[in-house]
Amino acid sequence: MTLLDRVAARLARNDMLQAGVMLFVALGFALVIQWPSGATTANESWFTVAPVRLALLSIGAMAWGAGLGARPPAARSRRDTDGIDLPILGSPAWRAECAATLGALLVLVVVTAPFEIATHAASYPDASLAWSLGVPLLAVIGYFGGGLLVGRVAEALRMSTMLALIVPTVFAATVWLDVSLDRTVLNPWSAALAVSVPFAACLGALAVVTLFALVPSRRTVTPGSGGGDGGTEVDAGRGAAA
Amino acid sequence: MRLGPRSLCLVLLLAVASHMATAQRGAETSVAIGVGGNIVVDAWNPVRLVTRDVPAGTSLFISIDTGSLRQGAIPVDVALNVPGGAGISVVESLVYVSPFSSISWSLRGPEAVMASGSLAGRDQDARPLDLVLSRDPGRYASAFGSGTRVVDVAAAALPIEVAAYDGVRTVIIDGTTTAPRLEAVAAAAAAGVVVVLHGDLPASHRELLLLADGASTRLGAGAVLSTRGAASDAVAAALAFQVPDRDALLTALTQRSLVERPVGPTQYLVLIAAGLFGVLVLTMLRWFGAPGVVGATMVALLVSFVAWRAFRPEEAQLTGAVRLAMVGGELTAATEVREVLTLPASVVEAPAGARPLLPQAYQLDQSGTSFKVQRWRSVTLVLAPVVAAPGLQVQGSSITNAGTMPLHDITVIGLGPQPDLAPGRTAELVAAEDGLPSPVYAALLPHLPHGTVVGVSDCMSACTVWVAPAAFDDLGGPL
Repeated sequence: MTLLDRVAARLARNDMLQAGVMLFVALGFALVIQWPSGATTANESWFTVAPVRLALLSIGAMAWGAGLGARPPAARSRRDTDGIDLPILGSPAWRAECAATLGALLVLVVVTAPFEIATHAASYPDASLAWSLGVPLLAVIGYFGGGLLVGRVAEALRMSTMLALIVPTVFAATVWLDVSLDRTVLNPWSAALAVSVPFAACLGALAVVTLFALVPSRRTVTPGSGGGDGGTEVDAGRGAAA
Repeated sequence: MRLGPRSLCLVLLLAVASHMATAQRGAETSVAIGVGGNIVVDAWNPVRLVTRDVPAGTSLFISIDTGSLRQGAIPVDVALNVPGGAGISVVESLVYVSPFSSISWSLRGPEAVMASGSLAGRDQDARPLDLVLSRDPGRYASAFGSGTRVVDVAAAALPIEVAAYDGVRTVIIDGTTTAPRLEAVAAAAAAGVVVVLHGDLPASHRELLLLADGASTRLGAGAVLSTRGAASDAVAAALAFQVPDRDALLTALTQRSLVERPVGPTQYLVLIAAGLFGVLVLTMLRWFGAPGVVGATMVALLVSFVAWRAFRPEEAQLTGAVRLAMVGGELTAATEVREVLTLPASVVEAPAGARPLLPQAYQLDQSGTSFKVQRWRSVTLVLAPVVAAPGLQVQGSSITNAGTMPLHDITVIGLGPQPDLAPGRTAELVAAEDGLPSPVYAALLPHLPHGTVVGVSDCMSACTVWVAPAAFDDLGGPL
């Protein structure tokens, strides 16, 4: 089963499909209510659609990341099997699920891009189109990684059941932090509207760490180091280590 | 090293001398705004700085606060570089003075402010100037009566720029002083001033008679009159002569938006398109597996490309313009009105002789004016009037297209529409039934007297509306 098949299967699952429907409805609603009508000619639709899109995608990425990050490790898992829907933390199925979920989120980024591009074209904002197109990719990967971290912490604190409250609280904290600092560092709503180097740096670093943690590496075990015959390649699984 | 009493005295003397030199330089600096230093509100005013021995890097800064208690400060900031060096330095420019709260100016060098001054808003005056070039200006002042601003100016003080006469109503020259320059008098007439050459002019003033062809000669937007008799006769002739109100004509021209604003599809169309796109994409993702994901991605890319091409305006700034060309004799006073619509917030750059139609903060320097404009907003700029060659000439009962572009939508107020004229062609006036006037100049017609010829040319770039005011005093003649 290729990664594309896994992504397609992930997108077809109910949770992702419902989220996709809600995302399209929200974007369509924001687009229509802000589209100029009557005597108004100034098109301000991008200033609503872009933040809504980025904020929803970021919240979704963090929520799914937190859900996967909160999976219990094998030592505490009460499951015998390693199912795709509820995989054990660090297992190959867990990594595959992470990759599929992240891939599905990136597909949602792409398929909602026409809303952003159409409103950007019509509104003619100061922000560059390259930033508008690039920042959702960065934010989704970064916030997915942030969600994994939040999930791990919640699971470690035995607070996994409160993830539905923790994720919005974390987002509220990002807004509070940005308002306190008077600059855009973590808040996706304001990051959508203008180029922000701190936001790009933070989310870029988070995205790199996320990809580094999720991509399984292969290291060579040298002879005599134990663990098998010389030259055996072992799947290290950085995600499990994380 | 120890300083003795003598050394201290020397240092103090040097300090005092330095301070006196600075003060002297301040005393030698003069800034005059308006003709003869008389500011006319709601008009272009000449600015003249005279100073001496200023260092390189010196600039003249003028700040005009055109705001009010209700609007707050609306600053107009003027910065003019002063050529430094030994000797006298003169800087001349033009500035449009709107009703103001205060005007302050300062001459700033690299290290210090060398001179400064200010004018309070209560000193402003919107009445136009009546300039008199006479050894006995009192006779004319009494003839003008109270409520007028009669100013006695030297011939050399008359500017030669057309826009500098924006706040001047009449110029009376009786030949008893030094003769003014011919180009200064021509500029005044072209700007819309009624110039009166009164009495028998001496030989030194004879060249001014080149401008007068009979008792009354239209020249540009104004006229040159020749009168005899008492001073009151000259004043009466000047006040009796009617020239069109250029400000009213410009306001009428701007009633119609000069820029066509970009209009996208309707809300309903956007709603339907967004709904169809969403349903299509979600269907592909739900039921078509991996091919569906690839297909949805391709559809999204295609829709993005189409939307970008369809919705993106070609330019970030859209500019529309119209010119008002007031023809009189061999001269035309042309004033351009420009509307700039900017889609992203930006700074609109314009030539130095540009001012906003409505009060707005802006900066002016030798390179031009700059206006900060919010996104999806427009600014209407009125450029200072300039002299141009007439594109429309009226001789007897015929009209000639003296320009290089075809004249169309020609009409004579009171007589009716006339046929179009190719460049260089002449046509006799014909009586016709009144038709609908061109929308370009329809709003002007109530402000123009009967017999005025109006035509339009060059609408591919910016329409030029040619106006020959009262070209036909008696419409019965051509008919």
